[in-house]
Amino acid sequence: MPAVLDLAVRADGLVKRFGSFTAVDGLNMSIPRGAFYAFLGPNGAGKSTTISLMTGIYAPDGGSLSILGVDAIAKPLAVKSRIGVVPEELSLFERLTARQYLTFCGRMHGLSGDEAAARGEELLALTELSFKAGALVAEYSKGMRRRLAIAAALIHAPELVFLDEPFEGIDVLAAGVIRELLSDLSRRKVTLLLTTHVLEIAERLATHAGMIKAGKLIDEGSVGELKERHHCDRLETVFEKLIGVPVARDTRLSFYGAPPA
Amino acid sequence: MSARSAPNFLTHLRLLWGLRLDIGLNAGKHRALSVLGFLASSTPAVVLGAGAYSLMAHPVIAQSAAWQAFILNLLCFVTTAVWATWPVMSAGVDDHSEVSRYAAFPISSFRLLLASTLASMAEPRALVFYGPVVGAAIGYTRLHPPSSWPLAILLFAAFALFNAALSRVGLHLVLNVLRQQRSAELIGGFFVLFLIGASLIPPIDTSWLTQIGANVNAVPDTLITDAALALGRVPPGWFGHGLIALGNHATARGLADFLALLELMMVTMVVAYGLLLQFHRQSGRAGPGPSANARAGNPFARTKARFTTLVVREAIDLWHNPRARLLASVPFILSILLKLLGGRDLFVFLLGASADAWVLGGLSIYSSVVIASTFSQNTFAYDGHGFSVFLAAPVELGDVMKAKNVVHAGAAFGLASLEILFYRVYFGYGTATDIACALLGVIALLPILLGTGNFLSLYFPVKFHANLKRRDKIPFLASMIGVAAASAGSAPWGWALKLRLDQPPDATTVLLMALWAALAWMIYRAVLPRALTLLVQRREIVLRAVTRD
Repeated sequence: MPAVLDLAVRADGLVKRFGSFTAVDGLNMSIPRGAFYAFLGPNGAGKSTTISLMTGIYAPDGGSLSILGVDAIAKPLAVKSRIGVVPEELSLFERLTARQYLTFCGRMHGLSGDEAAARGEELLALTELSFKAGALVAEYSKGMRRRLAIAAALIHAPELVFLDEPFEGIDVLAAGVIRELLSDLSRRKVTLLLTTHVLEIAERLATHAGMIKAGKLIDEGSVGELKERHHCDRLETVFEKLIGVPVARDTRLSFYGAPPA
Repeated sequence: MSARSAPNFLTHLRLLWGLRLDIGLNAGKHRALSVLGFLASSTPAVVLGAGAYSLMAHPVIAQSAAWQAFILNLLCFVTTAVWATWPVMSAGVDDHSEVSRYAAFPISSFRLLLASTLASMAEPRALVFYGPVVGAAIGYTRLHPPSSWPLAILLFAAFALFNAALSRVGLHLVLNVLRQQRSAELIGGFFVLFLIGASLIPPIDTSWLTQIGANVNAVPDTLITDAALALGRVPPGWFGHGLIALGNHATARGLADFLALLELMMVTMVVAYGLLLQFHRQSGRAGPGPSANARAGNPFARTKARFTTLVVREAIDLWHNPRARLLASVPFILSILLKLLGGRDLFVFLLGASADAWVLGGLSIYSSVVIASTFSQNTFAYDGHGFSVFLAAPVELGDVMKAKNVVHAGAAFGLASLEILFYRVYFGYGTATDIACALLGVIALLPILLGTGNFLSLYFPVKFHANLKRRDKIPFLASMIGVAAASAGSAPWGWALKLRLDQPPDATTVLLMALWAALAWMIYRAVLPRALTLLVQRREIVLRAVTRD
């Protein structure tokens, strides 16, 4: 295990309850700095809630959490200055143009107006949105919104970026742009935490992975370690082994009549 | 990759102001139109302000310190009441998504609440709400220049901040209730408690209204003085009280009112903050789901035809809509307040024997408008991806709209009928003719609202998020068209009553209303095919609007 100082994220016994429902149940997690960490689990396992805890949206009901060496529970604002977040549900300001939106985000992170505008232009070009920079966000497609959200998350050059399902519901071209961008960030040693159901993407991009089920982290480590530990040649097989996949049921479809023998 | 220091409070405030300004300027196709829209919607503030100013300048009022204090303090009270109840009246339409939208930025929730509250004070709505009290205050200071102008301005700022904070408390309270799975029971429980409590409080004595006739000078001075004093002793009246003190050169008393308002504002902000955190702690989760028993019934298993299935679905959707539940309670709460404050007596004083026809009709029309306008003018807003199910199903798309119209009309008429029954039982007034006029007024209004609503839903489609964390703002033009439709639809009812002057409505009034209702439904039937054709033509636009992220 890396030394504590080398960790971008360290969670110990993290708990989050909603009434009688425990969404995150004593979660322990360690993400080394510079890692591309794939956070995997079935729907409702607690991935998004964990990210909300780490990004200061929710306050935990128990446990400790250190982000980039800072106590994230005691000093959430200090953490927010150094992280970027791309939430699953994009809450963008729809009645701003993309250019205005990025500049606003930069200013909120303490950049000067000129610097925010300049970085915004660069990010718009990088995410291939320059051609619609003057259009309202409301007019953007889902893929364009997702790319804009990533651009907004990067405008203050964060050291750690959380991406919650960035590939969900977008086309191949948008996915390609995002994949390239993430690879580039990873090469620059920006720590990335990605949740996705597309295991092929995780396999291709991630250096580390963690599997969560019913609010508990079942296993984590470098992708190589995980494969070796569970005697699998692919991350997908590790996932199936740890999380389990539904067994095909005998669905009778009686209203169709009997199938041919 | 060193982290920048987060902006200070003033920068945050400027950024939030700028954000609202940019959003406002981007609202129309042309910036000039957006500016014109802002000015147009703020115009009532000038009219109301000028009216209040003229009232203070009226010779009778200008000569009476008691009347000046009464008007000023009453307007303070009304302004605060409007601010505090606005979130309930509008069923939480304000943008309350700040915490989730700004979650990624290094700004604390409390600072965000403060900056956002301050930024919200320059919206057209805020300007309109302040029109009368500002007009009256200027009128008062012209008669009695304050001993300290800076303190007078600070006093007003504290009053405005207090109102904004109170409005936030109301908003966050409403949101917390709406988020609950059992919001219907909570709203209903509050309503029952309110009714029980209200029945124990004796309504204020308004018998003096009938004794004095129309002569203001005949009102006993002690009565007005007592009322002005009473209004000046409750927090909303501290602004008026303080301004009067400054006008009388009692600067220390004015300063005390300012400090008291400031302190109360801070306490209110802390309460608002607590409620906001409570809301966001549970955002994304709506608590435990309904019990298995509650889910057991399947009404769709019993519907006879496809159209009935559509109607039942729409009815269930409306029944489960927390915003509808909240709106449905508002007319009843208004009725209770009307009785407690002696409002009916005031109408009897002003309108004579026709008062009950006006009040009963007004309340029932308001009841139908809150449901029919809110849900028919953005009729696909809550469907979301469900709209694509309609498109994929082997049904005429027009049937979907017709089913929505049937449900919205039924719900609006049902609520209006309940309100009429409530009024008759609770107040004990209202003749059969009054009730017939009120019902016919609603029947005449509904087709106009639904007809307009159909076109507004197609030309200005918006999405309302079922999770209540966020909703689109309805374009200003669409809102104004909706208001115009409600005014046009209820105008014949008003005209029919006015024809009788001070007399209660008679059989001729009922006949006139019936004729108008028949005509209104004929208009609806005539324009409906156009709306249905348009729905088919614009289905993709609507789909994109209601299914986008």
